[in-house]
Amino acid sequence: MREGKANDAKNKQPKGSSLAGDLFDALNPNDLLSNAQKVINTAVNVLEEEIAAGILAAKKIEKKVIDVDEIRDNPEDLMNRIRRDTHEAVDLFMDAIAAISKQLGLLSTTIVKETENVHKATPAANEKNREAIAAVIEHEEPLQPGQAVTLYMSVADDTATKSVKIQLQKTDFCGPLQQKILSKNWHIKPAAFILKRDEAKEITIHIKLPANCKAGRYNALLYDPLNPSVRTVIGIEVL
Amino acid sequence: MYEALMKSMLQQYGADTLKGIHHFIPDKEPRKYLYNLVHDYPNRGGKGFRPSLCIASCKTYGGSLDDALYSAVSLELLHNAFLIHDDVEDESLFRRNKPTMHEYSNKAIAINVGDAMNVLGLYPLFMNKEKLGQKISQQIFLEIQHMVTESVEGQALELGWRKDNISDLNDSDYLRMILKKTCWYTCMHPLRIGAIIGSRGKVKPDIFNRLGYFMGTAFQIQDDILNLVAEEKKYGKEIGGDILEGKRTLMLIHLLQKSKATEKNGIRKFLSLPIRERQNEKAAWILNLMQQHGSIVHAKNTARYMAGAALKEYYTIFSRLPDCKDKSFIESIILYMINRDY
Repeated sequence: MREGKANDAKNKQPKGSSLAGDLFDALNPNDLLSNAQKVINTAVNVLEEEIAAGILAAKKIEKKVIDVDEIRDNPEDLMNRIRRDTHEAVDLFMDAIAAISKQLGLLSTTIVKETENVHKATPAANEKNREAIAAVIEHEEPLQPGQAVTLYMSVADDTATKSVKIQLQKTDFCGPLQQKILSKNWHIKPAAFILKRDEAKEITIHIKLPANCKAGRYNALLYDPLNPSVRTVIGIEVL
Repeated sequence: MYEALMKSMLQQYGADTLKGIHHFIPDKEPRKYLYNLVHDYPNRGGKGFRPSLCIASCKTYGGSLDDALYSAVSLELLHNAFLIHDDVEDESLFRRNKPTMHEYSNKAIAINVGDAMNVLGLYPLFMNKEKLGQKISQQIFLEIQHMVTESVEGQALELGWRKDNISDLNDSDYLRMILKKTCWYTCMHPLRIGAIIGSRGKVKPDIFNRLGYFMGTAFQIQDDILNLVAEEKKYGKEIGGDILEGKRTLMLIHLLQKSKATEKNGIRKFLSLPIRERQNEKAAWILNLMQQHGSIVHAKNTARYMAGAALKEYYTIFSRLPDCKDKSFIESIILYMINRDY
């Protein structure tokens, strides 16, 4: 996504600003692993690590000050809290997922960072419906056919008492009028890993849209067949 | 935007904020040992980046100066509180061309004044609810809470490195420390808060994280470079003071990576001394080594890369918004951050 944004941005830079021009030149050498790229990549990694750490820390505090059992019993109340306070939405959503996972004895949870737009699935009153809850990651801006984007998410399980093996699988993107973007057009890294106790694993999702991709809203599912609660809907909009 | 116009906007927003700061400082005793001193640092005329970014971001997203003013006042009060405490922690001698507060008063008084400013910075946030309503006010309060938390964590990192004379740091360590210590409160949160206010909570503040981070890093590195090479009168602090204080700047970290074993030992020995026992001659030797090993060039390049990346983020975020003076102002600030000489 950042590359796409960067290219868009470059096209929009004002003419005649020599300092700005110099700065862009420094960032656009032929060698992709130039010093500039390395420095920016290092910086971005640091930022994303820190934001993820902040989300996890906030979540732990939130767990200390809310009654998790009560939340489990009354998910509607949880959703009201989420609606009341958008700032805490991601943390509380994590709690909802974690609490449900604990009850089911399953792994769960997705922390969505930076590039995402988290939409809450509606928790239902009973456990059957709870199984239907999935995180949603949506790219913020509409994409052009042929454009490539990268999304990020973290997988963590603070209810696990031991390491868990995760094997992520992906579906095609389904769009309007049965249009599809085949699963070969998107990749996850790493797709298989061992999630240690108290560990948050960062997942990179790289999507390259086909040049002939039709306009519309598309969704795909990222899931682990052996851990049914690990599932995330990936949403994009194509112009 | 011409630099002169950008500077006049900085000045104007800074003056508006200063007026607000004065409004929130109680006019009562104890004046001599507290409230008169609370006025001191803000009155010295800082650059006003933080309140200006907040106000400009607010106006770009459709808000007004009045909407953002309480938050800008809070940001500036908290910033000045940080500066007073920072000067004590760093044992700095000068701030904005005048002796630091603990130098002309004493450490105990200065720390207490800093504490008072931290508390005074909270009231404008409470007052926000009159203008912005409960929901937005609470959101801004949490922004500030996060900002202060990150800043003290970043400061803790740097103070810890100095205390333990840590010498094997790398660029990632530096970037992490700067992100926490400087970027959140200098750029990221001012932009975020302004946009939250201007858009009445519709904008997702996370979109400003990279922009603010790149801007803040460019700003801090430039500040550290100026500490070594600027004109003292313009810069307002003692030149080379960061070397004497043992600040883990990008230049020092680079130098420690590139220097020969004997040089590294000499630097480590210098840094292990109490600040007041460090000699100017030795600091000059370290500055010379920085020049020899290309540490200053490395820092300048890094600042330029960061400013370039900030510009790209800026165009990505702001190009879809209608053109206005405040939008151009934010763009100019990015360029100014690495082009400034004070």
